[in-house]
Amino acid sequence: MKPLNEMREVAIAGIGITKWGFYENAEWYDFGSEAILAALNDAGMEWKEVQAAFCGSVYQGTGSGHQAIKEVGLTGIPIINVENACSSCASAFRLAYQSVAAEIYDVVIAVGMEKMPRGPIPSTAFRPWELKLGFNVQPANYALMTLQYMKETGATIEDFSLVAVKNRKNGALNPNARFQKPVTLEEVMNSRLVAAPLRLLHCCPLADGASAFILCSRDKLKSKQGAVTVAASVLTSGVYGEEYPPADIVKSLKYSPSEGMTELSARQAYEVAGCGPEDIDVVQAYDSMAPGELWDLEELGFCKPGEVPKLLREGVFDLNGRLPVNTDGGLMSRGHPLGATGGGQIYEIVLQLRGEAGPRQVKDAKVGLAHAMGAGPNSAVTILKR
Amino acid sequence: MKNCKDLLEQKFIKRYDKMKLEVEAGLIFVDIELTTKEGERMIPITDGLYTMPQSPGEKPQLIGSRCLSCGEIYFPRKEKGLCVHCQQKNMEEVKLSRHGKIASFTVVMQPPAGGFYRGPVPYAYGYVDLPEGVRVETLFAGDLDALETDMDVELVVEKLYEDDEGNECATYKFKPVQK
Repeated sequence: MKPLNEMREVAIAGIGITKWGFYENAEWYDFGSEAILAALNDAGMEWKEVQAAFCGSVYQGTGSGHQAIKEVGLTGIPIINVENACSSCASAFRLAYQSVAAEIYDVVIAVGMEKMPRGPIPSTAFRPWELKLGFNVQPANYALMTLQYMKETGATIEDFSLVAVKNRKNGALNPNARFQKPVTLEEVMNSRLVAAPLRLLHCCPLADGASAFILCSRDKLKSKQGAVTVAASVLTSGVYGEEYPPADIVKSLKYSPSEGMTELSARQAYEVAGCGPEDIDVVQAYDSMAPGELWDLEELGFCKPGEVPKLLREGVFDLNGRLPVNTDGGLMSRGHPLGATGGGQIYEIVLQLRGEAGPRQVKDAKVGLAHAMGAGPNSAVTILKR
Repeated sequence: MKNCKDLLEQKFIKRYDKMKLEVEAGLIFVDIELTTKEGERMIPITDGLYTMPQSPGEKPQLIGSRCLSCGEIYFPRKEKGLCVHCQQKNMEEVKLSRHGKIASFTVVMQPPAGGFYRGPVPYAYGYVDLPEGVRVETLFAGDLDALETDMDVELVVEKLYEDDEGNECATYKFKPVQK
């Protein structure tokens, strides 16, 4: 197995995104092709230069990437569809990155796209009898993790309500977010109870949308000035014994792992990137449910267990703080088109590293980390630098 | 597939007279389980989760698997007999403790997606740790507002809902121990 950091350097030549929201008269291939064209335009490249396509989606069915690329043009290149739950786009990005790093291709595209199902969202994680017992409520499954986190660390409902307040504040500065209106602590704490202790405004909204990335070897870049490169792209899909209720995985009391899935993927990513959490300037953490951001930042190594609530209150994770987190509003504001979400996170990191994030720009950001995770279970850590 | 007539002759059926006639006439066969609980006819939500009481004093127990190689315990039991911790195929079936402690719980305020769940709402579910060292995902019975972590709970089997044919569909739950 050849270490990835000994392979060819991979640059992000172009990025594209759509405005995320609910669209009744458009399908995933509409969003997907729009994001592809935006990424090509950003890269200053022609479609005919792209040598392979990796397309992430969850609910779109067979050959979903082909339908999006059909709208741009079938050119005989291989199209690979990637379904990896909430990490689908991050996984497609990783395959695209590896194929350039390994010198199989010079220019490839990674796409994430989704039109979310309306109404009940099916999940393959639960057995038929578990569905009959009602174990398939994702906010409730997060609530099971939240209660244990609160007990272990002393964190309060107000602590993770402040995550929603921070992220929705940032989202108000993101024209591509589904929700662009800030919320107050009172609004969050008084919103409808969904699954105790979690309330409606602790949950991210669903959304339709897409994101796309042109990855290439450095010599193929049209402009080499300030190019963003991939320092690491790691995927870990579960470790034995670690509890993960959203994927219907119960903790082993006898064989609890010393290192969880997120910690493992973060450690591997830091090793490949040759840096540590102290070198990261901006983070996109996984906030599908507000409390998730608290333990995510701890498991990614940014602070000790139980320390996040204090740092959050001190403003460390604010836009102008020492370590800005979810600068584009996170899942809380963007919304959650499952197959596109990981791409939305990477898109924001690229904007921040290029200095193109406008009113939410983090000063002099050089290294950024995006963490997509979720059912599967999966944990995908992407580190970018300029 | 069990012959319903054989089951009927074992004293169980109380109220399915029409079906009883049909069975006696040799017209139908059914593959359902019948229980003795107070003369009620209850069908478990699925087979193999818990033992069915065979006498009035007997109480139900969850059925798990224990790996004889590494000691890991599973609920529900591992049908294929493979330990997913050590990958050995050296498992025995075990009846699990009827008492444990709540590790975590939540109260769900609206019906889950998909229409599979047909029990009451709000409802509570979460994790119970059993003394032999296994965590069980379970519904909770009793007063949902009184639930707390570390609370002592015991296993019960209760009706969850009545299906379209009038059968009482039952499940295991854990209920706070009366003090």
